[in-house]
Amino acid sequence: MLETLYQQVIEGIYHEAKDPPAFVEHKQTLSAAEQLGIYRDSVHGNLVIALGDIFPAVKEALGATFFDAMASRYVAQHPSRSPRLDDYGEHFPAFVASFEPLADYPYMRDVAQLDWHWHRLFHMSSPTVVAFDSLATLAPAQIESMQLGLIPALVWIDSAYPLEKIWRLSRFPEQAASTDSIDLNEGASTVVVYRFGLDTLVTSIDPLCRDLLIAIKKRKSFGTICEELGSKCGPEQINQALATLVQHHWISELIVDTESSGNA
Amino acid sequence: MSTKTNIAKTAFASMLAVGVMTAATQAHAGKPGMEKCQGIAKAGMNDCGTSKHSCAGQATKDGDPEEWVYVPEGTCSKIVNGKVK
Amino acid sequence: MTMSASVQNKCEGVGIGLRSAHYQDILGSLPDIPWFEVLIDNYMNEGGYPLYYLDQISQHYPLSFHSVGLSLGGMEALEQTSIARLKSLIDRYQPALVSDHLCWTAHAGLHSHDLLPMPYTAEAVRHVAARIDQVQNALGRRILVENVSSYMQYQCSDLSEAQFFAEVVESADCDILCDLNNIYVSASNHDFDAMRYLEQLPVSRIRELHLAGYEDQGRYLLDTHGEAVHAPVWALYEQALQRWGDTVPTLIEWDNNIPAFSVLLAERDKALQISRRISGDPVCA
Repeated sequence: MLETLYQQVIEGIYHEAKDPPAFVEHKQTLSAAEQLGIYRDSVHGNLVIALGDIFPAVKEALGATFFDAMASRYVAQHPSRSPRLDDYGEHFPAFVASFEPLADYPYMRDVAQLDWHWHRLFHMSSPTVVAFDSLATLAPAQIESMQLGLIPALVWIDSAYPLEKIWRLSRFPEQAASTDSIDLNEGASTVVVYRFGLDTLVTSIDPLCRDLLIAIKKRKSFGTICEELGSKCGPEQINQALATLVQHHWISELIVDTESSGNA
Repeated sequence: MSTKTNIAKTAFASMLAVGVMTAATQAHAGKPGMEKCQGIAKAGMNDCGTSKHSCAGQATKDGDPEEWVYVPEGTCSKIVNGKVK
Repeated sequence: MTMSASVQNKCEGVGIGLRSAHYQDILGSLPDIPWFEVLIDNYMNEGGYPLYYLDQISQHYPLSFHSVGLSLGGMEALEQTSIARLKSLIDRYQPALVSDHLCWTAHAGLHSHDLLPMPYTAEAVRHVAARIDQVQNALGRRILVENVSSYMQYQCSDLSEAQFFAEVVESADCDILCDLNNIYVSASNHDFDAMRYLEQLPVSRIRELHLAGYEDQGRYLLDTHGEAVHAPVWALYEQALQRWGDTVPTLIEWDNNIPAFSVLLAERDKALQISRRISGDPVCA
């Protein structure tokens, strides 16, 4: 009995039925459909509000009226399937990308993607970074076979646009007040979202840094990484890219093979 | 010793030097060239773990798929060359 | 991290619902508030600022935990990961009270994130009482269960809401968190007598009261918890204290359109005035 009733209510909330719900009492003041409608509006409204909280830059970029109407359509197509409200919106960037009225705003999906990762990283644990000052000296063979680990709270996004600038303009409009305009023709960029302690931060990186992150993520050895990058640029630039990772506290560990010290 | 090993050795030494320096300055400088305020900005809006109470959403009606009448009017007006013709 | 030794783990007097918008106000001035209620669903993640601030606040104030996510009245298996996480937060912060709602929130994999009413039947009493029992066993402590506002009445209900509530708490052997605003909203929407409702609740189980504000939608009242407490709810509060004594801890709860912290303090002062009037004593905040 409960089973059937709950099924009907949740169906009625997410898919508006044509017939008035027979399981609800009719009242003088409110029909059965109207009573259930209050819940439908409340559920939809709360999800629209949640999307606005989770995608603040998209909301600011488009204005609340446009955003809420768009978010409402997303909600109609995507019922919540997680008990945690802050899991909601996973498919929103893809929705934004295919949302017809935004066809002239091709960068908006990237802004949504950045908002989403920002939101996810915000709730993660503060990362532990490698303590370079307490490292023992390593044999050349160990250096070559060593692998680097990245902090878990780190994501990069490749965009065809100057994404960090666009996002910042919308996410912190008060700080960007002096920005007259951003030219999309500035071109492609890679943006890293990451945690430093409790802070969730955003920065842009150059292509070499991006290659380095990819190689590390693929668990390539330090020797291989240096060799591959060395075919594209000089040692100075490799050092610079590594310095960027270190200075941003993105390296969580050095995985050293303690057996390989002898076979250089 | 191969060139490969040499590059790796130099790169490692350089990385170590930067690492030691970064660790030493961390307490004072925080992080290089980064904004301080972002965590606080979101700290005021971390309440999307839950919605406790009812919302008078006009959402369902606004989401009426019949016709789209809305025009973006936020900060995107500052982004130029955005229109794909 | 735990409370410093000087903080007694007790909820007494008029507390305030902790909202992230007020972290800085609270930690900056350490206002004289006897306890804060934490919407614990906002702290279920692994880290970051929310837990950092909760740590800080727990060092100065006793806490109660209020959950909206257990779906006590639901049919789906209780979320074991949520319960385990809740348990670990309870172990870490030692809240004086732990509560959730007499409602369901999800079914067949779909989540409403809203507090949906149960039908008031004997079957529903048995069902929810068994689940409350499970949660109490899993957490190793008693919980409080709160009445929700409702806008919909089911055909199949054959008990009054108050009878249902009373039977559930007796059957589950749990305590009551009585939200006076919610009672008023439901009483008004479903045309029953709020005072008569209070009379039917087992006094010995009432451990906490909630005060909040609804929104008048014309044909019905909507419980937004987004306004100041309305006059009829203050009146009901006065009657409740007369009936149950002025020692039941009371919470000022504000969830939407969150105002300046000073507004919540003013609401707290109003509650204290009423409580003072009932007891005839000057009451210390």
